[in-house]
Amino acid sequence: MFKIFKIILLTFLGTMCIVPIIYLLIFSLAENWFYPQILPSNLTWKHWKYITQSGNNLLSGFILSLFISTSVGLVSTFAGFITSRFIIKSKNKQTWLFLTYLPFVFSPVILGISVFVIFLKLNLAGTFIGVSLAQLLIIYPFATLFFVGFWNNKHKQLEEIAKTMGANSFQVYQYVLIPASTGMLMVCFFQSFLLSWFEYGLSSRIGIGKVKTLTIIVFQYINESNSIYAALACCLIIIPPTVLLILNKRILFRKIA
Amino acid sequence: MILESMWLKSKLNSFGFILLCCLNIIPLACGFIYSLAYSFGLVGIGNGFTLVHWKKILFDFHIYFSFAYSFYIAIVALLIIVFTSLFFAINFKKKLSKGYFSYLLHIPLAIPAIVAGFLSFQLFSKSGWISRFFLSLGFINTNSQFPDIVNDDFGISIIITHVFIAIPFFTIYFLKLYQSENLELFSNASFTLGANHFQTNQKIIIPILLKAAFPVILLYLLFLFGSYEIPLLLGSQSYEMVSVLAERKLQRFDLNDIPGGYVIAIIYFLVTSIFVYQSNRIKNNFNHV
Repeated sequence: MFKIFKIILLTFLGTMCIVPIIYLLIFSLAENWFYPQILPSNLTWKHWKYITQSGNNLLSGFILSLFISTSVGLVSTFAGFITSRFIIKSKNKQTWLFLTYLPFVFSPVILGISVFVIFLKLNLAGTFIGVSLAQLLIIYPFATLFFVGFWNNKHKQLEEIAKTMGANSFQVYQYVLIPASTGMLMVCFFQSFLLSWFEYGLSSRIGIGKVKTLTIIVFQYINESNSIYAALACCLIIIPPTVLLILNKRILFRKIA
Repeated sequence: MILESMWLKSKLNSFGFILLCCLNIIPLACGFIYSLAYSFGLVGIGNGFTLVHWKKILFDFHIYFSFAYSFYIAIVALLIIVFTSLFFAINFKKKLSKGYFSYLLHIPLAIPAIVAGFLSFQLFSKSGWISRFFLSLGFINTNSQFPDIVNDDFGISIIITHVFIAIPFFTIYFLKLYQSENLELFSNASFTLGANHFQTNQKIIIPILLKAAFPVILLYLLFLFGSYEIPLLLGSQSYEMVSVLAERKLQRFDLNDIPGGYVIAIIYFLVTSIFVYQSNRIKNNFNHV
């Protein structure tokens, strides 16, 4: 009896994981899907073909999101790597850690409300650079916290050996610390990329509707009650990270605990 | 050589400090000071120092209700998430650690809040897929008989959506903790000493997992407390979570509402800061035990 109950629960969990993607895919291909039909009467590629047509914002949103996420991921990974070293070595470690935690745990929307005027005064509101910098406000602390837990005695010993052999601080980074941390740098970049790829609150506030990332486009379609195109945009958001997550499952979560 | 090395070292350390200041401390401090100044009428539409906006917000029942409502959503969702994930991680650890299920479990991690909110709306609304399914089974005769799950006052759809997003993440997290904390050894020792499965889980595995995951659980509570996209899409008109309320106040056409939005932002800032400070203290106490 308990075994059957376990099988039912496991099936439920598996279904819960796979249904969203299947549902969104069907929805993006649906034509004439009216109440109370359980499945659409017809499936068509015409909505997907819309992506390649000129003048639509889905492809441009996809490319823009890709640019922002890649640049934010790269900058936050390297900035977090260097800052985490500073925090670990600092006498005021707890204070710096507390300050690093703050923006990361804030609601992005409320953070956006508070810092909006700075971006406005610097003429960064509604620009690609402005949105990227705004995203850095939450993703850079994430990357810093990610690496704070990474440094251990092994890295300290490696650094000391390199210094004993005459390496300066830049060389220690260049030839010892960065090569020894390549795996974790990749993991951090990928997770930072995902955080940026999924970001909505700060991007909508700082982007003031001019910088249309994929999440902003989804919301725009939802507001217009254009559910099929919203589903299409949702597919564009979730398919690339799903593929990457499955491909990199082992590397990504090896050190999560 | 020594001088050059010291100079480079201090330069790199300074660079870390400069980055922390430029990308974290200065924007945060500027945002806080500006919000404070706006809420006291010193900048923006104000004509000078005033406590009117603070009094207006602090004597407004809706604000307290919004904070309480956000806390209710966060706590209920978190309790369901943590205990369901624990249940799955403990009872299905072998199935979920390898094979197809381990891959399936990673899929929801690629679903952002906005997509989850949209999906929940499509599934749970009166004309959604579940309503259609119930109609086809004959459980309901029209869509009006389907219960109000979306945009309801109890935030059921908000809780369901958060639970859906977070259960796979916490299950994976608990599975990894199970390995890193060597719980297999502990449970074997417990069985050898005569404990049954229930006792082993209750006295050893669950306490160790909860203690190890406590900082992450606390941070997730804050994340749920400040969530925006999901309550924006699925929340009710009458009860709003804090982020939605603050954003709405700032987007109104009535300019007099803007300082109120900044007051809420400051209260949220203070509540979150106290929470982070306390959770850091608890975490440090845990580490010292």
